[in-house]
Amino acid sequence: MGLLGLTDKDLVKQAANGDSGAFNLLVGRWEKRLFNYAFRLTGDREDALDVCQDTFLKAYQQMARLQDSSKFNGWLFKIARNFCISHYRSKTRSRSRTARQSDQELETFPSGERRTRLGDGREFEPAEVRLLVEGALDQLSFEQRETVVLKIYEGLRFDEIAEIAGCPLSTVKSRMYLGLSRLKSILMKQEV
Amino acid sequence: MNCETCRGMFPDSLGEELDGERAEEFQEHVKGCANCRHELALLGETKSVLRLAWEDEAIPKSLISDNRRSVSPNKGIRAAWWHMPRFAWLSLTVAACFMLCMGTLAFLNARIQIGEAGFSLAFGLEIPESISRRPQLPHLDWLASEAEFGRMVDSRIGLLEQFQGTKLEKALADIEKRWEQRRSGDLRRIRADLSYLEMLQKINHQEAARNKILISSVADRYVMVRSPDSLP
Repeated sequence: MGLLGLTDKDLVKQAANGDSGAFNLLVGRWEKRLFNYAFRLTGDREDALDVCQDTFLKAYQQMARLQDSSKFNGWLFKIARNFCISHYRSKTRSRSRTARQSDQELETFPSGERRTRLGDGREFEPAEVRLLVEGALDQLSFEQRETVVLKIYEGLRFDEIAEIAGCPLSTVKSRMYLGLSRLKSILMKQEV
Repeated sequence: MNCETCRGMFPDSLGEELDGERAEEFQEHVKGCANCRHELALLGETKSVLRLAWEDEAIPKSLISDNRRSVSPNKGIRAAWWHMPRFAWLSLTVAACFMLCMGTLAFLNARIQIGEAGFSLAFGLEIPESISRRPQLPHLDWLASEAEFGRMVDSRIGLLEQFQGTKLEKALADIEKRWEQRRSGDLRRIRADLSYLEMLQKINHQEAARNKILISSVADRYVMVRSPDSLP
């Protein structure tokens, strides 16, 4: 049986034994998901790509240390999270500037004439909603943003998120609730 | 269930991780409480908006097809190798070929000989000139006579015997000298031991004499004490 038919768990085991083909296959399977995770956390495509590269490089180097191959998923996200934090810290100033810019963008966002009407409700163009969501996510703390991204976009369980974030389960749930509430408030102001 | 407990379960409900008895209790409360229902609906809507607004994007540059360095353990080195310009590859190839040729020539002991006809390439170990040239024997006439040759051989044998004899004598003298040295050393040691034993014997004699005197004096005193005549 070729590598393509193998599960992630088997590929991780082979990659840990130095099989670069198996690791490349893992990269192929996970790169999109990891890129989107990093992109949603950093808010920048180039940063997200850097995070992806660094994450896979580190994963390759430390693959032998991964004792439970079934936890590859969480382990990979954990590595990516640390790189995202580094990017977040180094770019805090620019991020706050971006946030201010997006606030201004939101304030000067299209008025009623430019919005698409669907039935009785008012809706924005998908690109506009995307911009609003990006801006709203940017206003959350890193931890809240991370929790929302891992839960809503990556569909991880709370216990998996807790393991990645290295905090208690109750904290993760609290972050999720607070993050969603905040996002709701921000988006409601924009009448999405 | 009160509203506070219910809101504490919002993340579980929104995250679709609520099941069993708790889910039933939660649903029951939400049905009966307009505030909680409204709040949950808004949060659910927010979640849907988030999910729909920012869908997964394709990665701009695949890490395995375009950028192998990202999955390589020797990131910097490999990247440098793969991204070398063509002329660098060409130079490297030429250098490798040159090294290979030189290695082969060295392995075959090749050498360039400059002769009258020009340059030539030779292989194998170099033969010294003295061997490669035909030997010339200028004293062959001198050795022409067999008797002369025999005399020369005898004289050489004589010299050799003399040399061997001298060497043997020298070796014997050397052995003898060493033997003498060792024997004299042994004798010195024996003499020292003997003198030490004599000294010990003398001390023992003195000790015995002293003991004898002591015993006799003790005996005299004892006799004096036991004798009734000695009582006052």
